[in-house]
Amino acid sequence: MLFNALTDVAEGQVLKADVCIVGSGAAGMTLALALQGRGLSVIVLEAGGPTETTEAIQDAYRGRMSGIRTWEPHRMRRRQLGGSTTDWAGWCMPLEREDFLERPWIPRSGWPITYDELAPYYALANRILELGDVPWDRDVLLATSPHEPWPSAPREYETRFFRFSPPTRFGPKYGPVLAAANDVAIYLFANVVEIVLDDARKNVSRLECRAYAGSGVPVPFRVEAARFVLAMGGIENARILLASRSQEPGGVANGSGFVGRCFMEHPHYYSSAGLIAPNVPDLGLYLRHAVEVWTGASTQKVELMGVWAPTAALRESLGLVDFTIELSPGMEIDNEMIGANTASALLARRDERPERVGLTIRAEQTPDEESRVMLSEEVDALGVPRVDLRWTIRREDDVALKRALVAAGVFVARTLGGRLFVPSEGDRFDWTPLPGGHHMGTTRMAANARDGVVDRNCRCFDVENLYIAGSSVFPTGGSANPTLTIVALATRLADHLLTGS
Amino acid sequence: MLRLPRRVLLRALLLEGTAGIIAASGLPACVSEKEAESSDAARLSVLSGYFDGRLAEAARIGRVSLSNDALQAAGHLEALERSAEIIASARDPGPALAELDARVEAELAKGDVVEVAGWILSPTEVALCILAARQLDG
Repeated sequence: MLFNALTDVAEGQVLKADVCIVGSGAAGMTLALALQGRGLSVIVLEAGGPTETTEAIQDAYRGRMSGIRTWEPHRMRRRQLGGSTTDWAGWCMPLEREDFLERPWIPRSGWPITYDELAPYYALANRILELGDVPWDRDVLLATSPHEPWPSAPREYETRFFRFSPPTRFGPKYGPVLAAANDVAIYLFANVVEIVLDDARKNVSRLECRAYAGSGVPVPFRVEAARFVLAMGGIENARILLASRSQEPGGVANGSGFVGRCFMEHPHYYSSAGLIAPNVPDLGLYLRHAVEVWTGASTQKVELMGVWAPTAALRESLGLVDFTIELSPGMEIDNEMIGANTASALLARRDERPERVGLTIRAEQTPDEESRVMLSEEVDALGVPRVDLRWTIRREDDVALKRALVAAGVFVARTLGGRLFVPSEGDRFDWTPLPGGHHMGTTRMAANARDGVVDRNCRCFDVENLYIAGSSVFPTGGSANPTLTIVALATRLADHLLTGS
Repeated sequence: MLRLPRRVLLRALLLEGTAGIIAASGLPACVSEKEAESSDAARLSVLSGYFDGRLAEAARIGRVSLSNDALQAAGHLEALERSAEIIASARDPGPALAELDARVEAELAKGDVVEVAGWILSPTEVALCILAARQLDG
């Protein structure tokens, strides 16, 4: 069922359900789909409308940026049915097995769940994101592609694969499915302004909401449920917890002090490094292309793109965060002192005009408590404090990236006879990071209440009936785009809510 | 193969360029003018041959390396010494080029590299660029 809170909810009305999901993006809608038809009544609250958002509706996402300046907060997320899947580009990749492990060289690394625990849910996420049934098996994809991989070595660099969702727009794709369900009620223009706890402060008793579409008089109403799930995105999940401070000055579920902290992005270093090499091998595997894969039951078309990446062994030996390298043929290398033409003199005997390949790096970043979502003094139209986004990257990450790329330079020289250019300043990699719009870490999952906000089942340590879905629970971000893992975790959370396991 | 004291080599290199290295190398002076010209040409042809005639571009890399003390900072001054020796004693470019190539390959296999303006290079090829710079800059 689909409701418009502006017209379908009366002032002061109390809506009730078994489960209330706040947000209808990739996480919230996946969860609602998984709970539908399973004997629970579900309410989904969406702050935006059914289709196009407006500047007035987006205004609630405006905020300050006191760290690295990126896209403004209201420009990198969408307040509408389907959330930011309205804008996403469809890049999918699971996290690496090692991403779930504690990596002693990365402070606060290690998930309280393993890759194997999440693996079955990646298979479900594949279907939701319209990626088909082809498993995430590099050997299968390598064998299927007509192109050859670049050199790899177990302790150096390897080839991984992105696959591409159409991309799935959750609003038009799954909105009608949920609208047709009798046990799911989606309320549009339904804004949560405060989470209210019970007297013991151990459970959420209700959500204070406003029906509002960016103009007019906000209409208050409430939602009561047995269980609540915040699925508002990596910035908003933290914001609403911090802003709900009438009972707890530090905000709801913030006994550890980690709400809002350890904000992570995937810094994108576009066309930063580059290489020249004689007789560059076929780059086809590293460009977006389609292959047909036999699954045992049918032949399925898969769109994929290879990237180069450090192996787990190299990351461990050099103390690296993870990253991937996208290869772009023919790109100019931006170096005023020694350009690619000049450097090609070094290879002139083998190739008069060695080919050029540009490198775009997408990196993980170390969780850093000082990189965080905070509240500013300003409030939005509904009185909720706006965010102050302080995105920072530790210097150690840039130093490690430089080490990794020097190792890549040696590998390129040895295996391709090429030479690599790494933009750097002293001992650190030096290039302007751009965000991927991947907001992670602000309600991190941990093994205990001291180190994070939610447990291995995405339940808040401090509030028994409050769960969090989305990339805000990632304790580390890996280098893979987060949507596939967000959807996998949401299906896993649905299982937990249904079975308690 | 003739070995030069590093101090002598660097002084010669920095003050007098490749010609200084060649002079400092103490290679037999009692040769005819024609023989000397011939061996000098052979030595120069090693450098030019290594860069396939693109000495000016190699020299540019060499100048940047010198301005940053790239080799010294990376602890690879011996590459300069050894490269200068190979060139100084070359009678025929072929074997000298082969020896230089082998050194570059061995350095890369060991992961011995020098960074020059962001390029990850082998110490020997950086040394050759420095020698090219000195050759052109006199």
